[in-house]
Amino acid sequence: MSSLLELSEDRVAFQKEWTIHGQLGLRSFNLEIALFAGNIGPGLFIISSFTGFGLGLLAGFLIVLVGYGIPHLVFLGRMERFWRAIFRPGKSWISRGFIFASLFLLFSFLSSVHLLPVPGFGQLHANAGLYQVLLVCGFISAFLLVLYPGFLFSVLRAIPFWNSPLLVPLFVLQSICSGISLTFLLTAFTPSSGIDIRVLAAGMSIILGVNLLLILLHVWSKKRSGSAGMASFERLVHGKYRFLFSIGVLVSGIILPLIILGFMHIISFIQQGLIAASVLQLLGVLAFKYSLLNVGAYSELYPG
Amino acid sequence: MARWGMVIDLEKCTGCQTCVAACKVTNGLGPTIQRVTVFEKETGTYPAVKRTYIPRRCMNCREPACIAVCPSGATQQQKDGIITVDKDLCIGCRYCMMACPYNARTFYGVERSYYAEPSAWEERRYQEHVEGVVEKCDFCRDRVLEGQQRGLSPGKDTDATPACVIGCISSALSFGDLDDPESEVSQLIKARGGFQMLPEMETDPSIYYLPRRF
Repeated sequence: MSSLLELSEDRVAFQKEWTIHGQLGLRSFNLEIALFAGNIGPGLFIISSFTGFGLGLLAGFLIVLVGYGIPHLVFLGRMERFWRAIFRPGKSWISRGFIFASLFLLFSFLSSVHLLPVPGFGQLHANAGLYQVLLVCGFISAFLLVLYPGFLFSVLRAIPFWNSPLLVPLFVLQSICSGISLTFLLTAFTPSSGIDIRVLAAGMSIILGVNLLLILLHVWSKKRSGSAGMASFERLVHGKYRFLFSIGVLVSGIILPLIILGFMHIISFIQQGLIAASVLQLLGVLAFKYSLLNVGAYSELYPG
Repeated sequence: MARWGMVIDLEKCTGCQTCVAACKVTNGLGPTIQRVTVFEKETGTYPAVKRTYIPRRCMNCREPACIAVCPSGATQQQKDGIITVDKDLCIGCRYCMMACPYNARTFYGVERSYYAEPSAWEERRYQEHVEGVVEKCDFCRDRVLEGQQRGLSPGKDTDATPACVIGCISSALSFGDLDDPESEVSQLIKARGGFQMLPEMETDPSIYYLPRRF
């Protein structure tokens, strides 16, 4: 197996610029954080808009602002020109993502600002009709923001491991699941939230199961998609990222949370169990984003 | 309007890296960045082993993948087919680098000198670049345009031809108009069965490779 790995890794080049191995080193690590925060923040907002969990709306906004917006700015080579990213929404997914993120930040802020001690914004919450409109706009922009990275990666034919329609539903399900995890974590500190934990836990279990299938389908399908797909597969499953993938993504991120939730469904729901399942699931999502970025390989230039 | 293109003869390329050096000197590039790369590819099993050197630079494709993904419009296709990056518009997101099937773009990060103290040449030339933007081979477009204005023929006259083509010690590189069936590049492609890299990407590169005959 090691000879096969050396052969496949030798023949293709792995992308570096979107990882810490690129020219900007640690500054590029921001993209890995941003990808994670841009997935869990909108997910929390979506779940909170269904459950009416005000703190979740605010936390969703803050996660995207601090964990997604700022790291993206720092990642850019010329961060002072960030506003130029808005100019080509008809063609570029980066432009679309910039618009989706801006809309989400606007509507999520307006939907949750009444929870902050900011004078003058209480009117937004007091007017039920207006608040509903803001919440719906926030929900739509959150969903678009969740969809965006899946398309960002899947349209890239140059990197076969990313060039897959499966990434879109995978990112959406991970986002929803992370939103539930964050809701569990936040409600641990606000017990009077009135959220039906059992329903959310059941939903999370189903999503985790589907997620597992999608990840395995995606990874194994790449084994047969040319030398670059094979090299990515080898690096992820047998190579440098095998522990991150097997322990981080699969065991910690999916299997252990599923076991914990399953036990609690049978016995009884306890706060510590929910917190453990949530933290493990979130770590799994972070591990997935990190490994996804790091195993992206370009197609072999000269196969002959 | 001509469509500038290049032909690389894999049989003639010796892997000497002179094209890399010529490019670096002409474009004032430091140690962390290069627009031209020469790969080695070994095929076969001992004793029938064959090593091929494959020079790679931006293919200046007719249907480039990089332009569509650029969010700021910094990457543009000129009338002569050459793809350029406007260093005043690029935001440094590097999505174009991910979209390029040939991995032929480079990011101009923080440049450093070859030795502890930067030379006068380095100090002067590095100022021509903008840190934090993407760079790529543009077939020495300024040089080609200047030469044309002086009535010279790109691909034939030294001062109107990309630096790597001039520098190549084995004449493995040829430059000219791909749309002109009488040009040297068109003739070479026709006679030797020139092929493009990764045709399945449907980018129609302006660089053709001539296969090794033995």
